[in-house]
Amino acid sequence: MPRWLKRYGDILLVFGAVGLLRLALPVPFVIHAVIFAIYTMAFSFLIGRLGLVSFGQPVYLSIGAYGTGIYLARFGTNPYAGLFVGVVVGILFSLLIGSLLLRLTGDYFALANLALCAVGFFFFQKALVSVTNGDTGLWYLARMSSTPILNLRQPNNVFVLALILAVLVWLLMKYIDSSVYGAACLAVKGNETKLQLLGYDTFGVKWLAFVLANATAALAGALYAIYFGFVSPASMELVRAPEVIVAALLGGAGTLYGPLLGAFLYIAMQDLVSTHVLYWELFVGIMVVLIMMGDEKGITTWLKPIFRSGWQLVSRRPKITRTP
Amino acid sequence: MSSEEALLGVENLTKRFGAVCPANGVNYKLRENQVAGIIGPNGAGKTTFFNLVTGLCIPDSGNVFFQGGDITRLSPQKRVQLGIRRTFQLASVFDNLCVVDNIRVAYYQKQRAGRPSLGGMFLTELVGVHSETIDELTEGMGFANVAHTEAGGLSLGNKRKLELAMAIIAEPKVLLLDEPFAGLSEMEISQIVEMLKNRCAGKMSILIIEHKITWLKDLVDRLSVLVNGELVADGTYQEALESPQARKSYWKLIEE
Amino acid sequence: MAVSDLISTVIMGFAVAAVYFLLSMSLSLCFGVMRIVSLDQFVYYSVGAYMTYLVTAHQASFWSGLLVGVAVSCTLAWAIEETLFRRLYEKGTMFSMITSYGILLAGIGVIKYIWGLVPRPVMAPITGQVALLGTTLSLYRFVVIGLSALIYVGLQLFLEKTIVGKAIRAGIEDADKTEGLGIDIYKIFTVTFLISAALSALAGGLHAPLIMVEPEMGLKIMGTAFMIVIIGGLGSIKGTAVSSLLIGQVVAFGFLLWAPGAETAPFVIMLLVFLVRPRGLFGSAYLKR
Repeated sequence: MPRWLKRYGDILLVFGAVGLLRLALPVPFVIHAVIFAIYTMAFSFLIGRLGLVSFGQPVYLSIGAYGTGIYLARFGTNPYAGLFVGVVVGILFSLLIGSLLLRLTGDYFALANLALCAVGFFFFQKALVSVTNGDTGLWYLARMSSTPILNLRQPNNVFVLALILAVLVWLLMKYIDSSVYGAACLAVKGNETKLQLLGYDTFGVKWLAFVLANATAALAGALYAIYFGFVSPASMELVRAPEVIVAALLGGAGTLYGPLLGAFLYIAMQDLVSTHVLYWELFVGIMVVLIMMGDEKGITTWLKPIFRSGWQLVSRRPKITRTP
Repeated sequence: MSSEEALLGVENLTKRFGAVCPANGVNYKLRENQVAGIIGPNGAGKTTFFNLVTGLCIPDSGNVFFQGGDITRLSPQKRVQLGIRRTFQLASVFDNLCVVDNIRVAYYQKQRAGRPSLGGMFLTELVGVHSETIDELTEGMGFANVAHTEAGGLSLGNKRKLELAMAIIAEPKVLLLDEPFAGLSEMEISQIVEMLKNRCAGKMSILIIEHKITWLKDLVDRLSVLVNGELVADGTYQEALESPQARKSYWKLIEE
Repeated sequence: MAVSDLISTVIMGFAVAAVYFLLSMSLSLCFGVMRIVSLDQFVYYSVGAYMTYLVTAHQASFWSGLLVGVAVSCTLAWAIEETLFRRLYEKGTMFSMITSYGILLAGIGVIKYIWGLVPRPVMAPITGQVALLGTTLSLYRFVVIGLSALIYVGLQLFLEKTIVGKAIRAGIEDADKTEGLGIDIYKIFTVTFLISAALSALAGGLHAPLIMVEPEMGLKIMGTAFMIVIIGGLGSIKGTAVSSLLIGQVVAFGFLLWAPGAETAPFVIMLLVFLVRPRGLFGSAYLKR
């Protein structure tokens, strides 16, 4: 077996399974879950690898969504260009915000992000009404042009694109884990001062990780914007902030497959609950409390023994055991 | 001796925290390849002295020189890149990385001429960071069995050894050791002493803060006594211990 | 800008600051003593507001509504502290933050279930007007300012003069050493948590006549309240008071000059403070555990 297959084979297996799920489950659900998994992966990277807890993730998601949305509603019609614009806006935004907020220590960082989310929501809802149409949102589904390959006007193709991008994001995350940079990220989480005293630029390490993670969140937002064909400030509401945290913790923060599992479980539960229960906040709230009272490592910890034997068929366990 | 001749030197170094004055006009010069010890009672300002030299705190007045250049205002990171390394009183390693990865992270910085760039780190595989020194050091220090376990689970003695290994592997010009023997058994201490004698002596300057004076006896060429932020004695091991001030602070120990 | 506008804006600013102060104080106390980020304080804030609504809707006095709000909130807080927070004190702030977020969400769900989504008005207990330098001002605002000032003084006296207060201050300095003195630190934690809940409930009750009572009122004020705590420095009582006064004026003048400024200016101020002092105005570098 070629080396790359040994190392990355399990990713193909897992995502092949997700692809097959598409045959068994309704399309809107799998699309939603795959995009949400990209978003969760980004958050999981921040919390699990860098120990940075951000309470304002919806901001980074929505920046990508609005980048795409505003482009498609006011400038161009090509959804791929829209996707690109969304990600670029996400990168620029997190470069700027990262340079300001990463100066803060743990608690201050988490809370400053929360404040950012509140302010961002307000900005898109009220301050920039002339651009964003306020609560009405921007609608551009009809404006999006068809493309010869993978026409994104069809949900099926959105699913394929989302799955491809998800695999790419996972490959990136897995690669980072095996690089010196990945070790430096964990080192920042473990003992930032020590890393500094080894001559490393810890701010740079954090900044790059912050931008990578939040550009990924923006990518998820841009995918949502293309799939739904509209954007509105509702995606940025503070009540939505814990969604991604719940999903990440459900699967086990910092594990490689946790975010995927967590995202699918969370979206499934949300779909079930919202059809049967009127006040989803109550449900999500109780879920959060229960998860926090349980094991912080999430359900993948006890699912691992079951999965491991299967995974070992295609991939030898890496030589370095590095539990996040 | 002027500051140009010394590898590391401080002049009139002063630092106050309110009424406490852990450094009061300290003058000290460390020559190349010298192994020097600093002793003194608790609260004498020994750790503050290290913090001032490594840049973790900035002096109120006075200067720090390294290789003839003034480094008083340099960031801790820059000083490390110049070749000043230290260990901490509470052994400071990356608890969430495995033992080998701890050493690899330390070695990688040395490999990249002290300045690891983000791009380089991103493109280098961690398992790709290897060298004979790493293997030999891991073996030689008895880490072979625990090489792939998380450093957080190591005993204090092993953490100290690991921290020391991480400092040594970068081949610094100056190595500052903050109470390397505290909390260790005789056996572990002698291992560390051996390590310092075999691997470091003659290759780098070493400055050790320690309470266990007897262990310093055949390790250091020079001993200084720091009391209330002032150097009260300086010379060979015997000279320093026989000075009246040193007798005062270590009365009991010398009586034995 | 007329002088009368200026005066009414300043008074409004103080009234807003008074509410912000009570709420941020409770967050600050929780962080200072227990090192927890207690987002569930916003549930007690909402409960305080809904209780005054409920009591005044049954023709009873506003002040009894305020007391009922405090009582209900404290009971709730006591139950939550006993069952949930006890398990979180030893863990990092991340755990308390996420758990309390869950409690906040669940609380909003319950409120929506009981009272629905419609905003409810609460009548101010004092409808009198005061004439001041050519403008008439609602007397209620002065009452809010006065009450908040009284609570500030009372809190300071409590912390400085009573045994429990001294223990709380010692806890803010160093909880481990306080425990070493033979003080049951968990009792202190419970007392602090109840005081915080009471302050939050008071903030909600007093704020109710100035705004509409609605299920998501806690989320609306959350951003600003946390910005105040952060600007002042986590765990600093003095910092919280100073930054409440500052942000109160900023918000009031924001509404007068350019409405979006009222919401964004505090954030800009927070960023500016961070550039100079990453731990807030009065934050201490030693507040770490």
